[in-house]
Amino acid sequence: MSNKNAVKILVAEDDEGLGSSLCEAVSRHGYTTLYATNAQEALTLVRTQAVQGAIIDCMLPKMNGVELSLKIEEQLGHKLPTVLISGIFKDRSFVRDALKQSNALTFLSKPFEVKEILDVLDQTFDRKEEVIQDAIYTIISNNKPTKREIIKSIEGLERVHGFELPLIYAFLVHAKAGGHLNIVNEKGEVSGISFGEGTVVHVDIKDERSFLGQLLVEQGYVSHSDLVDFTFEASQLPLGERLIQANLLSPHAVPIALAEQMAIRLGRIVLDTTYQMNFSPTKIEPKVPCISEMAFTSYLHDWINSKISTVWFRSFFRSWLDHRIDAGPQFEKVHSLWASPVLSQMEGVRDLVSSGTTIQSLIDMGQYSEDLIYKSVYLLLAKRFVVFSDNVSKVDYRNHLARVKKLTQDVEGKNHFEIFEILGINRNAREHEIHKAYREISKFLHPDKIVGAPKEVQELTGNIFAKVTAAYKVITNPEQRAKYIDELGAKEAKSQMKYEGILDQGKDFLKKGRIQEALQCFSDAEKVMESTSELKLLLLWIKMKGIKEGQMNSVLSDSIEKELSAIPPEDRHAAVYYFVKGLYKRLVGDYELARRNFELAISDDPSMIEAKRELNLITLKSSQEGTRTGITSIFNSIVKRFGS
Amino acid sequence: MAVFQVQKKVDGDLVHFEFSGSLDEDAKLPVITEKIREVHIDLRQLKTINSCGIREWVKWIQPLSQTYEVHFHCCPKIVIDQVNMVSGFLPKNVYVESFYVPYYCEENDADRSILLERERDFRQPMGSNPGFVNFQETMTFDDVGGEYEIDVISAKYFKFLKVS
Repeated sequence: MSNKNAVKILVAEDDEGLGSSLCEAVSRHGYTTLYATNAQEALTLVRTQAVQGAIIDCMLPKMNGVELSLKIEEQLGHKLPTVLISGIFKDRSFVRDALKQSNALTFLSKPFEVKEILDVLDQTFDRKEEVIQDAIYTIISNNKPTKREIIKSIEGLERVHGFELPLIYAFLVHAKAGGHLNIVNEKGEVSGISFGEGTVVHVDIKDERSFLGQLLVEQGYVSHSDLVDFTFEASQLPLGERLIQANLLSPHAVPIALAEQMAIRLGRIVLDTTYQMNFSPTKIEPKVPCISEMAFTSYLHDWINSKISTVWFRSFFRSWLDHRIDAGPQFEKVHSLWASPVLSQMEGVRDLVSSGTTIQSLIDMGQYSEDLIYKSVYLLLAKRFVVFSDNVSKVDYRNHLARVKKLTQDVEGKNHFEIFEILGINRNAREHEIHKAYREISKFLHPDKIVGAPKEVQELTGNIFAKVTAAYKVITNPEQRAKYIDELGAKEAKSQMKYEGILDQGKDFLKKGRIQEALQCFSDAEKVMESTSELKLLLLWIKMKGIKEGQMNSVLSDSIEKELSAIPPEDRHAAVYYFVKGLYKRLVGDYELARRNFELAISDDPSMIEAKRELNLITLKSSQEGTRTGITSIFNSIVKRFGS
Repeated sequence: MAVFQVQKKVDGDLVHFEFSGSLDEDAKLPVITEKIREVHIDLRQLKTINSCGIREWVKWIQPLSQTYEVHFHCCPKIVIDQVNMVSGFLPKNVYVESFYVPYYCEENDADRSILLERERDFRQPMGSNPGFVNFQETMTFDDVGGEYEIDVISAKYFKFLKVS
């Protein structure tokens, strides 16, 4: 820890011999100590000094230690990290009650080793600095943070997980912040996002690909054939300006497409990885192009819905499962957010806010999938519609047992590194993140947290905690970790090549109409590594091939829509996506949109024969219907003439 | 946003720069053509740095530090944030002579910054000599009431001094 002597520890002990010994030991260990022989002195010290921790004897004159810790909390407005000590009260039920009431870090019975206290202090104050870095947790549990508090919390962040970026973006937009969010990835590459009064005004990431042309075609501002001539033209002028100069594009279209491109790039860094970051506040005027607050919400929804894994959500929400979900500063019962695709599937959820509901209780209801619950709560947190209450609902040991049983099942047969991956820790996680994850896991697995639970709960919890602790010790060993990452890297490269090989073979079979063989290949590919967007789209392609005209019903249609919306935004501008969407639109009878999508597929990949075939089919169908309509109308007019 | 500007003064075999404004994609970092030994850069007027500015800086400072001894003076928080985060922002042969530590008073809703100076208040680690930093968690000032608290996370802010 960098500056222990800045941490002031109150020692409240009426036995002066013990009290001064404790003070000396704690001071020698680097902390600053303040000594009180009774509760009144202790409260005075807390009021006048910036006390950050306390060691309190349970048996003080006129007030016991538990009462004193509660009075301190009342005075400060927050809990003070406290160690309770006692020479008299030693029985388990007293210890349990004392810990529960005071929420102290630990309870030590005299005589104890001073080292036990010093270890607890070190863990707390090393942890405290890192908890301060959990600014996100601070914001999502604070109902009324000021704009300054939000910005300061984000400024205080040193590292962030890629899946936390949507929250950071959302908090900065909500706070109408201005400034530069600078991000550095594992390779040392620097990216940045600039915010101006709650809008995103600039996104700078390493991305050779420009989406502008494609977006202009996709949004119908320019045709593919018009674009082709300009794409490869050597010119200093940006593409948009050249098109405008050639009267092929209206000037208003460029900022719209550029804003969409910004959003694509913003989404590209929402990844399962860790970044270093800092935020440099400054006044930036909103400008065009930009992503407005309203547009931002729809992108936010998209990232949450399509990019973040359930495994990660589980680890993120692990310490919040039993915290009440309360109305946040932006909560409104009537708001378009409730109609978003994710929240609209959680019928009745808005009425559950502030009714004592927790994430765990939502999972227990069995009405919604775990993934949907996490996505919904995450979206509501990002939009400040909800916050987590500080109060933890009473521990339900049945839930705890179910969680522990599931965890036991999940880690069975896994090595130490795989265990932490199951717990949501990326293999590239830094030591600090592993420590943080271990502490979070300890909050619900440590035996001290379930004192009084049924025996089965205690045993299972003890077993899994021992496994997690053993894994923690191994993966925080630098040599073992480096060796594992090297081996994994080599394995992954091999898997990647194998995956691509199988996928290519599957695509080949699919194009030749050999569906069963294609399906087998895709199923083999899924076993090798996690499905990419391309594989998901290919599987959807096969699914829709099996649906005949007229067979599409609303249930099937909804399920396909859901699968399409789960494709990350940055992967929705490629031929295979357009093609699959075209198939879907054809099946639901929207031939115009089907045609549009097939045309986009061809514009992205002129060699896509399947898209050309589908386009021809639609054209033929339209002309046949046109002919049929024409013949019918001629026949009707003949009948009319001779009939009258 | 304020445009990036450079003031330059040559003094024997030293060159003094004062950078001000916004270090961004439009910033033109100076080229040194004189025969000099040391470069001193006063950064107190630098208002903001974005990702493009960070990349430009790293590209500029690397060769500079290989040719001259470089000294940063009066580094504002935004510079220290990049020093702590970006590899190559403060390469070898570049020394921080002084930097600001921000403080905030909730009562007055006011900010203040204190300048820490090398050797008096801090030292970067060098060889077997460890770094150190002396700072106060809270401060009061004669000209204004209220208690000012350090407005950064010290472990993060002083990381470049590698104090343990």
